[in-house]
Parts: sequence; C-alpha cells; structure tokens
Amino acid sequence: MKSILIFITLCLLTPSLWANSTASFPKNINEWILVKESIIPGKNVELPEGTSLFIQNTVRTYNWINQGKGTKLNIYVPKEKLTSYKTHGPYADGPTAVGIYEDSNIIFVTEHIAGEAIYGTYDREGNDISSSHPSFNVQACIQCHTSNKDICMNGTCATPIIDIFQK
Amino acid sequence: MNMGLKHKLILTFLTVQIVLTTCAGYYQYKQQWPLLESQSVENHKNIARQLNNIISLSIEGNNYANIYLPTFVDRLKSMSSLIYLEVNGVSERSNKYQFAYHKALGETWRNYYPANYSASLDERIEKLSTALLNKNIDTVKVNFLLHRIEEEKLKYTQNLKQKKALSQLNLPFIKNTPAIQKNWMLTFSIPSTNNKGGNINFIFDVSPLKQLQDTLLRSLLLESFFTLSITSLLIILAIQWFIHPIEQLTKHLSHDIQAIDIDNIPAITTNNEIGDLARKFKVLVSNTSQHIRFIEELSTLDTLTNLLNRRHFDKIANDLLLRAKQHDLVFSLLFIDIDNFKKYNDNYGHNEGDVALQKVAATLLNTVNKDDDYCFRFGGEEFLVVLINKTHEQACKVAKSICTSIEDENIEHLFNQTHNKLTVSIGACSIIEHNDNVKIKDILKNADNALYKAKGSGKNKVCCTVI
Ligand code: HEC
Repeated sequence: MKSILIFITLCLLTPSLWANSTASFPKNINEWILVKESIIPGKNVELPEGTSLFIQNTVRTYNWINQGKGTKLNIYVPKEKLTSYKTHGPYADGPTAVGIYEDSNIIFVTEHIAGEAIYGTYDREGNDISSSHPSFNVQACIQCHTSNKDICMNGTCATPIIDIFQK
Repeated sequence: MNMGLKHKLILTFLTVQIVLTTCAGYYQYKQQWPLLESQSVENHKNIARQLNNIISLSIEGNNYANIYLPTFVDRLKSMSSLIYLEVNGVSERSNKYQFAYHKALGETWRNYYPANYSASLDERIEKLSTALLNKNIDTVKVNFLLHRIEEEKLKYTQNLKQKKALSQLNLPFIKNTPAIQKNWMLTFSIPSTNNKGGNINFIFDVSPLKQLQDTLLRSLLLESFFTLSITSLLIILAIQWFIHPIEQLTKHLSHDIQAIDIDNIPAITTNNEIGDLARKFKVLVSNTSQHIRFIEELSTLDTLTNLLNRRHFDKIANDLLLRAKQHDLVFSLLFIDIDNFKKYNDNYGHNEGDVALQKVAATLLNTVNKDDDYCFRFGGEEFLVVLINKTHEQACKVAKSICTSIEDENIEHLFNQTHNKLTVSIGACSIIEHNDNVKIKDILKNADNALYKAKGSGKNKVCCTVI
C-alpha cells in the first residue's frame, strides 16, 4: 500500500524531474583524482574490429560533441571513493565520478544515494545543461549506466586502466 | 468405338501435347516459385538484420531498458509483416537474456528473470524508503529512484501476464533455417552479434506470397492454355492436311473396280508417299481391270442371270444356223424385251431391277426345252431364245407361253401402264426355207422389227414373222 502511494505521487512529479539533472553539481572537482583519460573518436573515425557493441554505441551516442571532431574525456573520482570506484562499488552516498569533455565544457556527473546511481550534466560553471541535447537527458544516462547490468556495475561503466590503479 | 486413323492421330498428339504442356508448366512453376520464395525470405532476413545491432547490444549489456524504449517498440510495430520476435542470448557476464515481441500484443516483454529478481527490487525499495527517514537526505533524488524501481516492478508483473498471454497464441516452432509454414508464416532464426552469442527468432507474415503464387499459377495456366490451343489447332490442321488425300483416295477407290475413273485419281500428282500410293493404285486398278476384261472375254455366261451371254451368241449363232440349214430344220429366234424396264429401274432401284432380270431369266429357262433350245441375255433387258427344229407355229406358241408365264409371275410394276406388273414383248422370226443369203443379222433384224410391232400394239404381246 505504501509503495503504491509513493508510486502515485512519483508519477505526478516525474515529468518535471526528467527534464533536469538528478545528480548535483559536485564541489571541488579540481581536487579530484584523474583516473582515466579517455577519447571519444570523431564521427569519421572507424572503430577497430572487435570493439564491443557497447563501446560502439557509446561512441555513436556522443561523437557529435565538439562538432564531431572527437573529444577527450577525462574521468575524475573523489579521493575517498577511489577504492570503491576501482571495484565498481558499492558506493557510499554522495558524488562518485565526473566525466569531463575537456574541449567542450561539458561535465557528466554520477552520484550515489542509498546504493543507487543518479546522473546529471553540467557546464564548468555548474549550470544544468541536461535538456540541451537528448543524449544529456538523465534517461539516456540511465539507459546505459543503469540498464546495462552486465557492463556497468552499480552505475559506473569505465574499465579503469589508469596508472593509479596499477600502482 | 471404332476410331479412324485420323481420330487416333489427333487423340495421340493431343494427349502427348497435354502431357508436355503440363510438364512444362509444372517445371516452370518448380523453377520460378522457389525464386519468389527465396526472394521473400531474403527480404525478410534483411529486415531482421536491421534489428540485430540494437538487440545484440542489449544482449551484451543484459539491458532490458532498450527493449521497452518506445522508439524500439514502434520500430517493431512499423514492420507490418513481423508477427513475432524472440531473443535468446547470453550476456557479457554469461547471464541468460530473453525477451519477446508479438504483433497481437503490440509490446515487448522480458522473458527471463533471475530467481531473486522481485525480492531484490523490494530490498532496494526498502533501502530507499529507509533513506527517506534521514532528514538530511535529498527527497527529490530518492523519490526519483523509488519511482524508477516501482516502474521496474510494474513492468515485472506486466511481463508475467504477457508471458501467459503468449502461451495462448499457439506459435509455430522456429528452426534456424527459413521455413514457410502452411499458414504463410515464415520462420527463421539469425545469430546475434554479441560476444557470447544468442539467437533472434522471427515469425513473419508472408501471406502476400500467396497472391504471388496465385498470380504465378494463373499466368502459367493461361500460358499453357494458349500453347495448348494453338498447338492443338496446328496439329488438327496438319493431320487434316495429311489424312485428307488418303480419305479422298479411299472414297475414289471405293467404287466397283471397273467403274473407277482411272484418269482422275486424287493426290496422284502429290510428291510424297501418298502420291506414291495413289500412283501404285492407278497401276493396280488398270492392271486388274484389264485382267477382269480378259477373264470376261473367256467366259460364256452372263454373271447376273446365268444365261449365255451375248458374246457367246455371237460366237455360236452362225454355227447353229448352219447346222439347222444342213439338217433342214426350222431355225427360230425370239427377241424378248422387258416392257418399260427403264421406269422399273428408275422407280424400284437397280437392285430390284437385277432381281427382276434374274426372275425373267429363270422363267425363260423353265419355259424352253433346255436340251434343244438356247437362252441368251443379249444386253440390258433384252433376251434372245434360239429354237431349233420347232415349227413356226410351235415357236410362236413358245413365245406366247413365255409372255404369259412372266405375267403370271406377278412382279409388281406400277409404271408399266395398263398391266401394272412386269411384262415382256417378244418379236419372233423363223427360217422355214433356208437360203444362203439369210444371215444371223438378218434374222435378228427381222425379230427386232417384230418386237417393235409387238411393242407398238400395246406391249405384253408376241409378234411372229417368218423368212
Ligand atoms: C551510450 C552509453 C552511455 C551513455 C548514454 C552515457 N554514458 Fe557515461 N559512460 C559510458 C561509458 C562507456 C563510460 C566509460 C568510458 C571509458 O571507460 O572511457 C562512461 C563513463 C561515465 C562517467 C565516468 C564514470 C564511469 O561511469 O566510469 C560518468 C561520470 C558518466 N559516464 C556519466 C554519464 C552521464 C551523466 C550520462 C548522461 C548524460 C552518461 N554518462 C551517459 C557510457 C555512457
């Protein structure tokens, strides 16, 4: 009964929610640790054969950024979550990671609350830009990060290969 | 039924033609139908392949959110011939991944859930609900998450219902290789492209193929019908052309051999086997006629009446006359003619005419003395009787008794006026005093004159003269 009531109130609330970032813009990102320097290749770049379908899809979804010329994507994680990031969770409450499109002033944010992941898209000034493109909508983030249960775990997707984990 | 050569030929050729046309039609169908079928299969495989990317991606990530996306469901719905789709794969972390779509239900649904699925949802809801109790918590965020999990739960119960609804839809078994079922459902399976593999099974409605099949069959039938009609016509014409001269030849040759018009045998100028046959026939007929004539010359009897024939008369008449002269015996000749015999023939027919001639001949033989006298058929309805050693009166008496005997036969002859039965007129001539100048032809002439008189005096009469 309780859950049904919650469900009904949520249904009324949802449309307005969907348009905005759910995760908050984290403070002090510049103190976070760079865990991975990734690249979204340009539109005309052919991915090597054997690239997983999921990566192909990710590239297809975001290679429009920076006028399709390709962009650097750096992933930063707050110091206190480094260990849980390495193991893909479980995550404590609070911001978990950001993906920064260095050439384009776009910051993807992942936050956790009660073990569940929520997402947001901001510019460097912390303005919510999630409604500026369909692929910035939190539903799009969920579609990849939460729904691909066998690739992304606990809402994070990167396979961390950065030096920090190799040390 | 006794069938002629012509009909046998036509029947044989037509049968062969029908068999050939049917075989050709069947062969064409066997050639063309699989092409149409495989084309349709290929088309549908192409449609199927378009879905492989998104489906394989979803299998790989164990991602069920993708299959509920309205864009995806709408895409499936827009494939008007797609009836059913069923995915069975292994995700990146070797989890079972299954979902299905059915046109009738208009939705996709997840077909496989791990055993603890529902419980784990409840657990997450519980956790979030507990978090809500914390005053510092951002309730908007928590409610957002709660909403999503509730949605997943709802989907779960819906899917269970859909799974049940599907089991009532009686779907055909889908093999890997394409197969068109009796109810025009095309089933096949294609492999997914994700790492750990999987199958995507399809059922397409290919009932438009039935119309294609109908059109194909109709056009083949029409084609066969035209071929058959035209070739049949040609066959009949050819056989007619081939048999007609034979028929004409047969007709021409079916007369009495001596009546065959040897100069106008049909097809005689034709430059083929039938012409050869006609030419051979001509030779055969003319040889045979010659032989018949020769044999007739040898014979003394008239074939119809069995009396002596005219030729024999010509041969022996002089001898008989000479002998009578030597022995000084009276020589009498009776010239007998049937009255109005032409009318008899015309009205009663030649067969009856022949019978009448035979009866007259028999009466003649019965009336004269077979040992001393001679009866001849002189030609047509004319008869001669030669009497030797009878007085002039006796000869005249014999003539009269012939007349009455024939009348007594009562052979109906309504066209012999006043008598209404068959009668004869007789002219008789007897040589009482022999004279070297009197020849057979004179006696004949005399008897003929007498006959003329007998006819003139009302027929059925005897007129006797002497020399
Ligand atoms: C099409 C799939 C896809 C979508 C949609 C997507 N991401 Fe990601 N995201 C990825 C992948 C893949 C990585 C890992 C990149 C790497 O390893 O280089 C990633 C990495 C991240 C990271 C770094 C932390 C991590 O998960 O490892 C953040 C933060 C992030 N994404 C946030 C977002 C946000 C916010 C959105 C929605 C606006 C979003 N992502 C939408 C696929 C996606």
